[in-house]
Amino acid sequence: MKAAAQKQTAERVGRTINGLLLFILALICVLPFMHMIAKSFSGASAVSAGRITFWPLDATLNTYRYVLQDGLFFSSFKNSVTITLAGTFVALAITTMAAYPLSKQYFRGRKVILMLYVFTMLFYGGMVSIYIFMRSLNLLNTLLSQIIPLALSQYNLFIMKTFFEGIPEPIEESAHIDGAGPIRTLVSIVLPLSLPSLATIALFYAVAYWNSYYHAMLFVTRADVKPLQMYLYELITTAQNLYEVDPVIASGLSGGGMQAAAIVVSTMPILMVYPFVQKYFVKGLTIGSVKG
Amino acid sequence: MKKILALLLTLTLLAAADPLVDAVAENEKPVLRVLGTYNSHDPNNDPTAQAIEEKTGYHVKYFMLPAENALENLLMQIASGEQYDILRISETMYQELLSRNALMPLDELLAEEGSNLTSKIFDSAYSLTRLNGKTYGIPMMAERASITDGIVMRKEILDELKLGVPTTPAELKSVLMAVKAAYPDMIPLLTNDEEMIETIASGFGFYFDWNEVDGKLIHYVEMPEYQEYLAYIVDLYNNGLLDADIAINTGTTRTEKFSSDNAFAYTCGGWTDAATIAYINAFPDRELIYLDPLYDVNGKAGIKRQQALNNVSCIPVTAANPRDAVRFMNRKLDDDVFTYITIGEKDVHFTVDEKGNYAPIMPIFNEVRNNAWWYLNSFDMTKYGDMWMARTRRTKATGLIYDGLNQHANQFAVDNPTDLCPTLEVVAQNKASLATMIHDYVLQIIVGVKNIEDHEAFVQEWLEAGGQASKDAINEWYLNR
Repeated sequence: MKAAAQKQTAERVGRTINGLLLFILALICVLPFMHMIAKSFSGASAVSAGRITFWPLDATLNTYRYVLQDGLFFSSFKNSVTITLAGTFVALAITTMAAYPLSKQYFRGRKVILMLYVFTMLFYGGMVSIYIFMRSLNLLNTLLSQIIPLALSQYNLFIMKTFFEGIPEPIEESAHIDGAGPIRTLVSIVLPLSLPSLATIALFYAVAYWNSYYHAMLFVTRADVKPLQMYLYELITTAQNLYEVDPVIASGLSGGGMQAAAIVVSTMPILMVYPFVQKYFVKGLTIGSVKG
Repeated sequence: MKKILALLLTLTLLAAADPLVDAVAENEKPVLRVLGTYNSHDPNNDPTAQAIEEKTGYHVKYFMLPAENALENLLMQIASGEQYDILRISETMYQELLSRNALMPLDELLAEEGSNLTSKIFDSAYSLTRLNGKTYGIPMMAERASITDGIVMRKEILDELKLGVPTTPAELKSVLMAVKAAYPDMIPLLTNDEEMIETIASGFGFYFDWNEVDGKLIHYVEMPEYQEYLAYIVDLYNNGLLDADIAINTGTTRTEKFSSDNAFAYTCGGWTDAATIAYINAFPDRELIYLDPLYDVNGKAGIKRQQALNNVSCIPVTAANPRDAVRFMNRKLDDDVFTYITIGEKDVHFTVDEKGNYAPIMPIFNEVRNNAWWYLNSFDMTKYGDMWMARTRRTKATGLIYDGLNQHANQFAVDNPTDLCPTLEVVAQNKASLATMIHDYVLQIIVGVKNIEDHEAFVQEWLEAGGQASKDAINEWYLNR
């Protein structure tokens, strides 16, 4: 009896310590966010003087007013959303269509094609050739020029291929017996079974598209085609000489506050989408689908 | 990378070598394509762009280079034959394109279509964009020859401690000592980690990077005066009169320190200096003293007045409408057009008092002409200096700083002998590395890693690392200018 009570107390103490530790860890993760959010809502003098901790001082919306100025923010936000949605869709389609045949042992020339993919992983034509290529396709200053270069990642292709290889052959065979052709098999049988890896790869692609600005930097010279990341990046870079450009606005702003606001507005959308995507990270769909 | 671009560029230019004919008939105005350097506004949706179209009759499509890797991006675009009628770019970019034969000589077009461009821009400015006697670019100089470097001091502390405004290096030291004694926690002089604080350098008798001595230009590192200056700075540091963190300060930390009331004096880097503006905004009731350049032992003082080339407008050989491009730039310099597109309408957007002082009417001025500078190809060099003052007066702080730094310009300003020096290849190549070398050396001397006795050895190192080559090139230009 006594021993049981002791065990219970020990368990309670253990749990409390555990809880405390986890709470501290969570706090360590959350505090920088709070600091950033506080900074983005604080007055310029307070941020410049380094007085911000976790709560805004001289609260103001000046920083956001500047970051969200002139509709440029919204047009680039719209561009980023379009690029991310369309890009992820295109990339997923291309990746699965390339990975599926390559996962089949009987596919002739499979090794040579795989080698070609590996080759382009190691060697890259460089920015001059890709620039000239885009120009000759008349794709400069378009959203397509920001979608195409990322539409196939060999790394994701290999993940997908490995996953397809893991799908038991008998399932596909039974589909074949039921009269399904290869495309029907892919769409109706293989893809539904691959949801977990599709979701993972979709997330990889979506994050890559959302964060990319390199190709925009190469191909875009018009303000209305820029993605959000490029808009924010340039906004922060010019914050250094903002006084020269616009002393009126600059007087109510600070470099630190602007950076904070830019980070908040660029991470918010992905943070908000994440919980909804998470539910697709379900594993074990294939378990039990083959019965002896 | 650059070599590949150069090769591509040559190929494109060969391909585009047919005689250029304006694509559109005389009286029909083509749409012009203008590429400019980065700024954070949408150039096609700005009131200034509309004003320009309204006054010149030209519809213009504007494009911008990215904020990062702008030069590479520009070379790539031009190399792959992207068509622009006007490039409004930095001097470095201009020189790169010029050295690759990518630009069109403008002399003929200027003679035929550019009466304003030739009469309102000084020939001395054109000398910066000429190569072998041919003009390839329309120069835009700094709007006004201005003093951009100074030391600001807090008046209320000077008054409280009954200290006079220092006029010599010795007086400056004793003022800083007195402040340190009264406020031990305060940084007496907060500085940028600059190699040469101009206000103090004046107290040792030199004002520029390249100073004239007996008809020749000598860099300050080679001057015995610079050794004295360095010894003085080291002495200030050792007495705790400079910021102890001088080596690791950044723009942000300096702003933080000055605007949080932790420093007495600060080296201000111009009318847009972030730390000074933050200070003025944080303490609007206090007054700052702008120190005049210090007097040297011979009773002389001076400070550099900057008159540099800001940017260049040029026409690539692949341009479709070069004649219209020149016409367009020329039209923008007509008196009424120019005033309207740069500072707006009198008594609506700006005012002029009886002394000829221009001031903006806020906030409307900012709403309609804030980005006007981005659209300028050049300006009337006799008139614009005064008009431009309206731009410095957009906020109280920037106006105060500009006026403060330039309050005694008539008495002290000295023109930089190398201001009108065109970009010399050797100098441009070595400029950044030599500056970093001096910068690192000065910091090492100040914090005591190196000794001032080693100065000769450093000068030798500097000369070998490209200092001598730069010196020869600059002097060759100086003697034959």
